[in-house]
Amino acid sequence: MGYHWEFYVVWKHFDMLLSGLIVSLELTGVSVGLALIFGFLFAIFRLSRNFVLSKLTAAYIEFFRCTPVLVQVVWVFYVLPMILGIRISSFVCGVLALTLNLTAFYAEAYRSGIQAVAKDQIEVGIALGLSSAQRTRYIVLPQAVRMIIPVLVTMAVGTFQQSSLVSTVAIADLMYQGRLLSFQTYRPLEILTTVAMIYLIIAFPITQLVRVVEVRLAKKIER
Amino acid sequence: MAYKFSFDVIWGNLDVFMAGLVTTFQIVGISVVLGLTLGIIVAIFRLSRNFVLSKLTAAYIEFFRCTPVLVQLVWVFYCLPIILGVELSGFISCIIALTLYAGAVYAEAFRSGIQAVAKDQIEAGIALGLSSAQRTRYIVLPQAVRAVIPVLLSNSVSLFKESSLVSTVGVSDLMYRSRVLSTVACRPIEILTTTAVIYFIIAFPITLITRAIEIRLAKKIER
Amino acid sequence: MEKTRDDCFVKIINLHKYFGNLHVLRGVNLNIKHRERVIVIGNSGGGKSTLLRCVMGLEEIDEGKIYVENKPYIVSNMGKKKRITMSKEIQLRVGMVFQAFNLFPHLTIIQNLMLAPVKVRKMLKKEAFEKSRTLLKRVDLEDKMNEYPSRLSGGQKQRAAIARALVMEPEIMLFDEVTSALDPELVKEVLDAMKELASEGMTMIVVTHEMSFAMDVGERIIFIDGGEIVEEGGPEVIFSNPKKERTKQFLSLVLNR
Repeated sequence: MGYHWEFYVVWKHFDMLLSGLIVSLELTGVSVGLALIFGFLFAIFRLSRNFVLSKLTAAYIEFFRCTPVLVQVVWVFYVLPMILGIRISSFVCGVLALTLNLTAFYAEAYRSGIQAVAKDQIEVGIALGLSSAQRTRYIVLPQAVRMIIPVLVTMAVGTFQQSSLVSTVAIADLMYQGRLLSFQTYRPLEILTTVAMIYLIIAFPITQLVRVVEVRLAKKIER
Repeated sequence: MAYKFSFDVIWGNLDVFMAGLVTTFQIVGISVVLGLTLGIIVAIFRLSRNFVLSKLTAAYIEFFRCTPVLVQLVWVFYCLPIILGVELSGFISCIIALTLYAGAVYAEAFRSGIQAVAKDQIEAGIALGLSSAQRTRYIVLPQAVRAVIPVLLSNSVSLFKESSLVSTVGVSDLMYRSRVLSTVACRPIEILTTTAVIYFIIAFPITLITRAIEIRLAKKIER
Repeated sequence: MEKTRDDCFVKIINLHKYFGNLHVLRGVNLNIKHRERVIVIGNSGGGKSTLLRCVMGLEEIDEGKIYVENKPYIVSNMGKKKRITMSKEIQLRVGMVFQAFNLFPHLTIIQNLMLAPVKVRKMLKKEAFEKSRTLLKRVDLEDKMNEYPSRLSGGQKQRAAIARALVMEPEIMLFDEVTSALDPELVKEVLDAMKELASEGMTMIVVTHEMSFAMDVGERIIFIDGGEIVEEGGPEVIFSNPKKERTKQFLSLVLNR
């Protein structure tokens, strides 16, 4: 193997990669923010006694969880504007696709968290005279959210990884810049390895942090 | 803007969808089988007392779980041939990349399955005089595998979805052929929607089966 | 009741065990004769189970020695470099039954019994099968032979666990609170199985809360508290005339229910 590694290329064009990274982070950040809110809403809808609302949201959730993210990204990018008859900027398409996807997963996470809060807890609330809304707000939600934070963070990291897919519809994220740069400099090895490392350096510490938190939470509950 | 839906283009091109699906199944099938084998071996190494082995496999697992699958695919496609000095077809590189990814994901599943086998069971094995290897083979693994089947199934469904990414390096799977077709036939709405639906009707039933198995297993253990 | 031979079978010398900073066993010395039936009683956390687990080799001894027929079984020296040696051969002569039964859920009862003889003693399957079946007959579980553990009652599971341990022909049987997890009406069948084993001359160390069993079957009662043997003696002595204050306190709590 006589490959001559030249990381100089990476340093020379690092600003390109950096601007791509910023786009990736922006996409992820906005999507996560929106999904946190909508995911919660949809979870409530899913759990509502209204049959239609419950089934509709269930269908939405299942659909976005059982289809590839790439298909969703491409669909939002090419099909949605045509159906709606309007022009949508690339960035918005990216955010839209990622948000629709993550919302479905978050909705499930919220739902399982809410359902996991022990029935006993709710019964105490009833016995004490709290209304349904009060019980949800003061008893169920605080416990549910505490439980699912690790899952929410893990899924957010997942969305960060999946944001790389927007590169396939020419959104200038980290992956897009990486591929562009590899072609321009004929040095895919150094560039793509660096791109992988950048994703890793961001994702790994967060993943480890989540594990530590999970262990701590498990100990707390055991006691 | 009124869009006239015309699903003739779908019926007229069923063979294209089928061909794509066949390639997808081939890729996923091979990756799942190879990935499971790799996963068990990696999990056992990960749990071994050998420090080097344990840490090396941990690094492998973390790397493939903390980087986007797209990056992994593209890297293997462009960079591996350079490193190895051989030409790799798109099909082969995708299988290599997906197998490595699947191996990491399955390894984590096996690892937690193995660690979940109650300490008591192992102690009973010690008391009966079974060696460590015998305990692993006859007591731990059978129980771990049984417990881990739902997770393996859902991981496999994920792999099926991720396989759509091979379209980005020109491998003629379902997604690739749909994108080509939608450009050629100028009917992205019908074609891409149908593609999404195809992925869905394969992934969703398996997901339901997985949930049913999970519930059955939970009941069995509770007894 | 059989006459016990006077030579020492198992010798435990100065056994120390720490769990972190907790000194759980503080220099336990115990000599057990062939065919002797030793019952260990005491408060929770006093070290009874730990003692048994050390003898089985499930816990690493921090200091002390265990000899079987004057040959070293487990030897540990606490020093800068802790060194422990354990004879696997001798370990095979020890069998144990656990509070949680620990039957293998993925194997039928007969398979549970056959696993160790086939894999460890390299017995032929046919031979192992016959042996296992005979033992299941002895504990009255022959009809459950092809069932999975989940289909058995607690008492049946524990009897199966006893049979499983016996297939390996141990010379010393350790029973760790084997009836504590059972509903009261199922306790008797297990104790009966143990009594039968005792009458056949098995050397046993039994940790239990069942005082009537201790009085019936025990040859020597050992009261462990705070990691030490506080008092030991025959059942007539210990139960009716304990000498130490701690023994009296424990017995009053346990017997006056």
